[in-house]
Amino acid sequence: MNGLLGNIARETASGQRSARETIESTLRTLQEHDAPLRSVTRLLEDRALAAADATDRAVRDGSPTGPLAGVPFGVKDLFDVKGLPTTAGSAVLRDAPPAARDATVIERLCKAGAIPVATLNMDEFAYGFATDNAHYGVTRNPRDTTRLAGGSSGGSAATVAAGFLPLTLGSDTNGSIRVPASLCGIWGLRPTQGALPLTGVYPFSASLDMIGPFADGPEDLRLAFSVLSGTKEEPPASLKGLRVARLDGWFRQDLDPALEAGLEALAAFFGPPKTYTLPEADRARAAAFVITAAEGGNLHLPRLKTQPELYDPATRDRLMAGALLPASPVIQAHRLRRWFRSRMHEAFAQTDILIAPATTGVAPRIDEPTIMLGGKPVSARANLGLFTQPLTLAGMPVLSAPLRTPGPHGLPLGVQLIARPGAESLLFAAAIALRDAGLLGFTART
Amino acid sequence: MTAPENELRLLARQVGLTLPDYALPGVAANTELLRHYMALIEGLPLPDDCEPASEYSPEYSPEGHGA
Repeated sequence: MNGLLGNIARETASGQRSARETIESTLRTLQEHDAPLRSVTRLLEDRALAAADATDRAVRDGSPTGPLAGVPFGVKDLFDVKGLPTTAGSAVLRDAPPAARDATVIERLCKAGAIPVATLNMDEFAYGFATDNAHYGVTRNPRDTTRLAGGSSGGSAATVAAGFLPLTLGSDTNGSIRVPASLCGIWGLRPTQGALPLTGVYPFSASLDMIGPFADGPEDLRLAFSVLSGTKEEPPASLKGLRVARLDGWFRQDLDPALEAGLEALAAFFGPPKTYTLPEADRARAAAFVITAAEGGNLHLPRLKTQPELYDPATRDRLMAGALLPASPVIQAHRLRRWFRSRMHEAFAQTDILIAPATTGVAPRIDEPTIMLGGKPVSARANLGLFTQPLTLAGMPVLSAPLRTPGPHGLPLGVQLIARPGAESLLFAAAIALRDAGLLGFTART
Repeated sequence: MTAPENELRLLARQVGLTLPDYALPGVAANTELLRHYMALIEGLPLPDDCEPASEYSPEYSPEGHGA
């Protein structure tokens, strides 16, 4: 099965479709239909049309085009785009000097023929799971606009889920790709920590920051990852004898029944279902939380001293609390990280892929932004990363995928597939097999 | 002023930060949450040879590394 990205590139390269038509149509769609979602912050109209014309000239001249020729894409508002200030979703950086060049990963996508068309909404400075931005608005979920898209890369997920863009980039420090991908019913990848260059990406928590793609299918994630990582697209990994286990313990709490059933079906697909318990997942989540708060607080401390009123109040208060953390627990969190990595390595001595939920259920309502944990409503903005944060700490690659079967109200439910470091190809192969078996891939369209 | 607010102002002074009154309730709530997580972290005994996972390499580049 060919992915959407590959089809666009092939049709563009063969002259079946012009890049200008693709880009004009994409820009028109964003201009006419994004307002209710608030997923776009800036359109890159002039640049996109110029790039499209250059692509069409190359096709006419018989020059080689890349594997993403004519593919429109958008980026979370924390990637440097040449000539524009990188706001990271803030008012504090609204007047920052324009970026001198694109982020390295944008350069790689452009070199492969893709065309950036928009910057996309996010939680301010990526600190949240809701994309509830005091300056740029709440990004609404295309599956149900009364609900959150999730965050912090909410604009990146919503534009793909709405069918506006076939490819977007986001960042994932604690789950900011996996949570919105899950709530919006699309596919996302948090690659192995360090697999992609962060040059030109506004930082949040340097120890944990990672970036990755959103797309509408696993083949598209695979192609995008090969371009982003500067590596050749690997042939499908063999699934013969694949050892798969479902994470239990921490990763079984408060699950929607439809999600529980979906996880069971995934675990059973590759053979007799197995489970694996990662020890101390709650403490791993706590360590990720503390490291993030401390590093984020430190990063912003100079501006918190001089311009606190320019921050989203919720972000400001979290960053200030992080800046006040004493050193000892932060160092202990980093020590726990090393310990937890060893536990993950032990897990991958026995299994090849671990399966876990991405969130506890469907997207929360915007007017009631809570999820239920232990029978009590808690803040969605702070707690949607319940299942993503412990895995963040270890830095293994995680593919976020939507279940085929919807949850309550016909809304999507998301799962995480986790592999050992560098084994992204295994994740793509397993995801494709599960999609082809009818277990993954949310099909409802808005 | 409550005792926790006093404590927060003292902690803030250590890093040269003046906490505005309007931020105090939010900072206090977030500090409580972080203390919960700190307690979880410190509740797991780790062997002395388990080093912090901070990454550093003295790699050399004549162009520097952007800082």
